[in-house]
Amino acid sequence: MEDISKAVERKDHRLKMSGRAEYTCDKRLEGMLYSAFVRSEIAHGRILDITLPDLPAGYVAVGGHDLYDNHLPVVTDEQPVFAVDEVCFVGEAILLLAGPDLATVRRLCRETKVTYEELPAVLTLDEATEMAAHYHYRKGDVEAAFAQAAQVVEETFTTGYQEQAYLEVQGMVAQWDAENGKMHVFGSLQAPYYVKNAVMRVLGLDDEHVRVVQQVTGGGFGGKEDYPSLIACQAAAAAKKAGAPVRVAYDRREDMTVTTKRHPSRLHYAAALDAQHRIIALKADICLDAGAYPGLSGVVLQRSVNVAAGVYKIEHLDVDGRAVITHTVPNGAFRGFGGPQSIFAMESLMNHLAAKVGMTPLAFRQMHVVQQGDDTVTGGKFHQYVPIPDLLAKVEEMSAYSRKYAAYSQPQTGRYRRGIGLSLFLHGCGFTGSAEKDILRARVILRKYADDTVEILASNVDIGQGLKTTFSKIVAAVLDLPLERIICPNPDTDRVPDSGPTVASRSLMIVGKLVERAARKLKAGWESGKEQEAVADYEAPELIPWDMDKFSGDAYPAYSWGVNVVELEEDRLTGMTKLLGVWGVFDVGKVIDNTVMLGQAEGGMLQGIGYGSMEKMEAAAGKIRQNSFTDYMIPTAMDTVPNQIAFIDNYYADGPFGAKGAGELTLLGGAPAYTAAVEQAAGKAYPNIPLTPERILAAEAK
Amino acid sequence: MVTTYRPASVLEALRLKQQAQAEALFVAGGTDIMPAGRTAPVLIYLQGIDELREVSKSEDVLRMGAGCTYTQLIGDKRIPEILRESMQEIASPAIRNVGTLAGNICNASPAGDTLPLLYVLDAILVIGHMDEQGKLRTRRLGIEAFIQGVRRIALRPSEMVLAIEIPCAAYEQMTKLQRFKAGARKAQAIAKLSFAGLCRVEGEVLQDVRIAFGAVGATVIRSWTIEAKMQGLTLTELAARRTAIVHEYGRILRPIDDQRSTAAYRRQVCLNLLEDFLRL
Repeated sequence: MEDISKAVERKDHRLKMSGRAEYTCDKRLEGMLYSAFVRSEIAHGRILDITLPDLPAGYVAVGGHDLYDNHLPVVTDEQPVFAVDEVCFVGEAILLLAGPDLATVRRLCRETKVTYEELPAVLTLDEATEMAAHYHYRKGDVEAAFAQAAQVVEETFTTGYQEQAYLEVQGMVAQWDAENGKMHVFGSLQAPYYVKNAVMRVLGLDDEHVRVVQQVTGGGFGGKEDYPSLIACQAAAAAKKAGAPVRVAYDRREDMTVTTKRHPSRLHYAAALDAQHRIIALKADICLDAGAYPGLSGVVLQRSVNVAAGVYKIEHLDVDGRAVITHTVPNGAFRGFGGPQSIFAMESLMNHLAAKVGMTPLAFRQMHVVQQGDDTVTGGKFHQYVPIPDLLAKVEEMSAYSRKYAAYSQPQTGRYRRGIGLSLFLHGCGFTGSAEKDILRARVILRKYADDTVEILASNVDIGQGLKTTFSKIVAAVLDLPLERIICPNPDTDRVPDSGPTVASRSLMIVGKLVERAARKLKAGWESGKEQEAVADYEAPELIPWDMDKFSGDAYPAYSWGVNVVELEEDRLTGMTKLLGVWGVFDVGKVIDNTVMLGQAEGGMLQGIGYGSMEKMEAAAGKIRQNSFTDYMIPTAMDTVPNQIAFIDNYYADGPFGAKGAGELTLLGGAPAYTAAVEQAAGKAYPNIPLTPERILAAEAK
Repeated sequence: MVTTYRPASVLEALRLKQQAQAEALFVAGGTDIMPAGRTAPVLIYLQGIDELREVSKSEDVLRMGAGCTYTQLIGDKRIPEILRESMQEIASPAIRNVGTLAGNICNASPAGDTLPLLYVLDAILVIGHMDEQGKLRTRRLGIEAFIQGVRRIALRPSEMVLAIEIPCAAYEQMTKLQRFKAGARKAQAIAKLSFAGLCRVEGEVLQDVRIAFGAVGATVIRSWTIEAKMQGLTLTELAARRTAIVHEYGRILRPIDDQRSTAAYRRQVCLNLLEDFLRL
């Protein structure tokens, strides 16, 4: 059989390149109404009065009182679909107005007067006291280890917001079928069944009477995991009240102001070193800014604490994590999901400790890296081979890291100074803990038609990451069919079983394995020319059971691994940098499609470098200041150089053809490798990202 | 309702403007008004006017028509290399293909990419209007007088910019030409600050020096007073006074904190670049 990694033309290539792809905004239903929101203008306050202008015929306004249940289910249910008595962040939705003419709807929104009694607002993580989530775990005897340490080093790191910056803004169309009492929802989303469950609850409809269909989706990066549930409920409520289809379509400024982002964080680390420069104990105190409502913050925090020690084996550990409530836009899922904050802090700490003990960053890391069979931080095990030595050998060969590191360690004079930075990282694939087994219980169906084409029925979506292609390749490879015979349409919950959301680097590894197993079943009973079906349900691998209360056990079934190297030149006069080289070597088990995976790696690394360098987003008085692509900077192709990327095969038996999670891993190392390179060039330590030229020069001035 | 026109000549454009008076807007590339969602009851598109796209160069004057796009000027070797470089850093190819140098001036943003350089090149705006006999009348105005403030220019409703002129003799003799745009990324970025410096050193003496800063004030900042003090200094004298000169410029910069950068950064980088430029 041909190597499955060999790239093919993507399943969605022609549809998208021809411009025929129908995104949510392209959807036109007869009699469809356009909509706009009345939103909170203050960070925190009580709503005293809402005065609507006279609505012309055909125009409706919906709010919390119109709903069967005004609680949005996203893990917890504190967030209202519409604010009713109290507003908790700037931009929180109070009402949705809908009608046939968008300009009129917008005018009516402007003419709606909301009177507030302003309440004190908590605007920063440092002021916050209310907790959305709290996790704590210990390993060994931390106090004793600190007591006998030869050296204790403490450092505080901070990270900022990051905006997903998907090209397609959030959007949803809802259509109420009054005759059958059924709600149809079409939208840009990552989790059809999350949206379905939310609409069912909020409108008080049962399983049979809500249908969710994914439209072609122009990027998600986690931003369309939880947020689409909210606008689906709002659009559906309006559609039901108006008796006409309603479209919610954000513009970019609205999207960037009110949708979820990566959690800003503060991470305090204390490391105890022995006389041989080995880290014997580590304390980490991690605090994430949840924003106004808990939502996914607890789950995000679980990942932050789970990777608090990075890829290193440390005997005594004390990790405490909190997500705190502030009166700012709620934060949520973003590629990496709590990992990038901790990986940045831990990798930076490793560099700073190495400098302190007079070792190179690489040699100091090599003293500490985990191996197969070692315990994880939560008392689980690294069951599979840990390929860190292979990754390091490969990246050394590609980048000449050590030679350049030595060269740039010599005194540098002149306007431009060079530096090179390295980061090592891991990503736990799939959901944290036992959610896959206890909550999701994914199912996949393959349906074979009389013409021997095979349709994949799963609720996972292609949001640009190539899932239609990789799923189809798996089926085609097992059944030995040409790729054209495999059909993988956008999920429609009336047709597909719940195979879970497209998040957590689980789609290919977990659901792809179900696709593979279903295909093998189909193959075993294959009868040409006959309609057949094969079903595969999730089966949990043998693991050390996860205990959420004790925060112990195998947090993940498998880990993906990576190393990044970034080389750059810093301009002493301006603090600006120019990338000279970007290298990445990854273990994602087995690559299912080379081109798809290269796209993930190049995009992920640049998104990680952007996170560490230029992607600055701040809130002033609770309002996001950088809410356009003019002011919120994501790197373009002009800001990078051709990336050098390699993959290491490390077959994983519970993934399809050996594949593991890959999408999130590639983002994790960009920020710490970038800042390490700047640190070497400038000869200073920078504990805060994004490390903008402003921050570089401010440190220079001190 | 928006009425649009596409005149074929300058006179026709001016006549349309005069008829419509203040309600009409000239559109050259449209790259500033489109994203801003700006419009008017009458839009007069200038792309059909060939005479506005002419470039000519005599011994004394380089003249660039107001309809010349960045792409056109970047490809024209008669344009000073430093100006072409500065246009090459603007936005993206799509913007450069339709955006115009005259538009960059008329938009009068403090962060306009080409402006500091045009100030030190002593650029002159050629402004036209139609007199009562229907004849074209022109006047000339230095760029520093033409740009009056943030998005404010000395253009009357009946007038239009016809061309930009640059006196050639002076810049062709410059011995050091430097410019820098500090953007948050390498393309598609509005300048946090910008710098342009030109000077002519002859026989160890600073014969001519011109310095301008962008995005650190309501308009580009250029000080003829400080320049006059530097003129005639020997390089040794200049080196001795360099710190004082930098300090003097520091007093006239008016940077602000905003969503793109900080006042402290803007000031410091401007002065770093100036200090570097003055190492002659």
